[in-house]
Amino acid sequence: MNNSRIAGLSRSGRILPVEERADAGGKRTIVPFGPQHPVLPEPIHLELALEDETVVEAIPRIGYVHRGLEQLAEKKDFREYVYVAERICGICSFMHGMGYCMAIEEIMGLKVPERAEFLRVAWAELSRVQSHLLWLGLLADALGFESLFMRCWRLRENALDLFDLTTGGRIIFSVCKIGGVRRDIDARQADTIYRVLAESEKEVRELLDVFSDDDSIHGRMAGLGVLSPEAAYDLGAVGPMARASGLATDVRTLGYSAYATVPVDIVTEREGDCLARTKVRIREILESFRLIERCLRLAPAGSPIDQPVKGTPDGEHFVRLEQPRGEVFYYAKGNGGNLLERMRVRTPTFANLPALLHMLRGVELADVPVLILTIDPCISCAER
Amino acid sequence: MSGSNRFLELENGDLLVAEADKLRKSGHRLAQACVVTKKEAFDILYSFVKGDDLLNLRVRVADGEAIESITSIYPYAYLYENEMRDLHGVRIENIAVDFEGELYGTKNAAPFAAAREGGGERG
Repeated sequence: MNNSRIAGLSRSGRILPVEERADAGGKRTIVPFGPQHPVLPEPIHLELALEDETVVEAIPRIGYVHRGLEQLAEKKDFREYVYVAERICGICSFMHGMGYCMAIEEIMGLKVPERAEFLRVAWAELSRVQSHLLWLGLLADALGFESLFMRCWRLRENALDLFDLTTGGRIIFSVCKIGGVRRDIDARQADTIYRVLAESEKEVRELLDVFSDDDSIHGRMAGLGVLSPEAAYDLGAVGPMARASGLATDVRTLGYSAYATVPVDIVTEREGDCLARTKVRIREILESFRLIERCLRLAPAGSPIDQPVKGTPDGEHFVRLEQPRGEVFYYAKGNGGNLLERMRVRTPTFANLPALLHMLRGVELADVPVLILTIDPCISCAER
Repeated sequence: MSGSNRFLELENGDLLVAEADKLRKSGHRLAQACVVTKKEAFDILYSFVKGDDLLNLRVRVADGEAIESITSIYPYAYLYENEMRDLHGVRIENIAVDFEGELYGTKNAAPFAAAREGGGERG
């Protein structure tokens, strides 16, 4: 890969006056994209270098909402930090808490009760459902398909209501703790979940038909932003981004938590374009429904859901989880005290940025918003 | 179960590129890179995965000491290496795609830089 320094930008990435762009022959135009943009709920800035209407280069700039949450782990008691980890992102909040807890549990040698593992996976998969439906709504909105946007978000409400029913919260519910979970799901709540999932499944299948077959959607997304399997691998793409390019990669297949008992069927598509990424996410919702039901039916009734935490973490460990946007890394290092020496999160959005920058080359300016949206960027995660 | 965790300590940063090359040839992919800030030094961790195997290369470098970028082996490492420089102030040379300190728009340069003499270690 060659250095990306491009005509039109100074060495510090700033826009040069036109008369200084001699090496570009005056053909290039720099268009700032973001940090505030209608398709971006969160701030990220791209300087797009165009020749006519075609993007030839994109230079990212992030850090607008960097909160230093990794560093905060060095000042918070390791038990309390679960609440901070959950606030890294409001969309995959539960799985951030779960990843952090898993890293600490590995260091401390804590065995999480079996029932708690099933409950964790059920809530994790329900988080995937609400995240994908939120994203589908944003995509429909960006395409100008208002009724579809409202339908996706109405369906998402079902998932949020199930969180409310089982945890008392809808977005951030602090139900995961080191050593297990705080709340159980009783038989009556489980019956409600089965009923809601069955009703939702029919509607999600209809969504798949609409997103797959509607001419206007097809025209905007088919063949746009193609990421080949080789490029996806070489650029380190993860999650639905990689799976839409035909790479059958999913950390859940490692069998962490309850996934060893409830294995996942990996969803892949082959086209690698924006439409393929959309189809992967919709089909993953259906797979999540299946996993949730299996977890609740297999969770041993009446078993404990947590175990006491004794001592402090002394050691280091990496864990990997499959979040809605892909593989996330949690690293924790303790030295026997109540404060961690280091906590690190590598989020899927950060891992997918090189693939995004690669895909942007060669697309028309008008297609940039939809293309960026189809990586399902989560800037909160990237700016932890 | 979250897969195996292996840590390989490198004596100095000069060995990093050669080790990364071996891992690339054995089919490992780069999964993340991060910094643990120490007193007047950094522990730099590059993590590679292949299936459930997770191997971490760790090298300690003094504050101000430079290491060679591994982007000649793993081109997409540029994002992690730009991040390590922008947030921690680690000196990394020959990054293939070099944003020259402009990736993160933080108010202060290298806000998580190594603790200097008298400041004590972070945490």
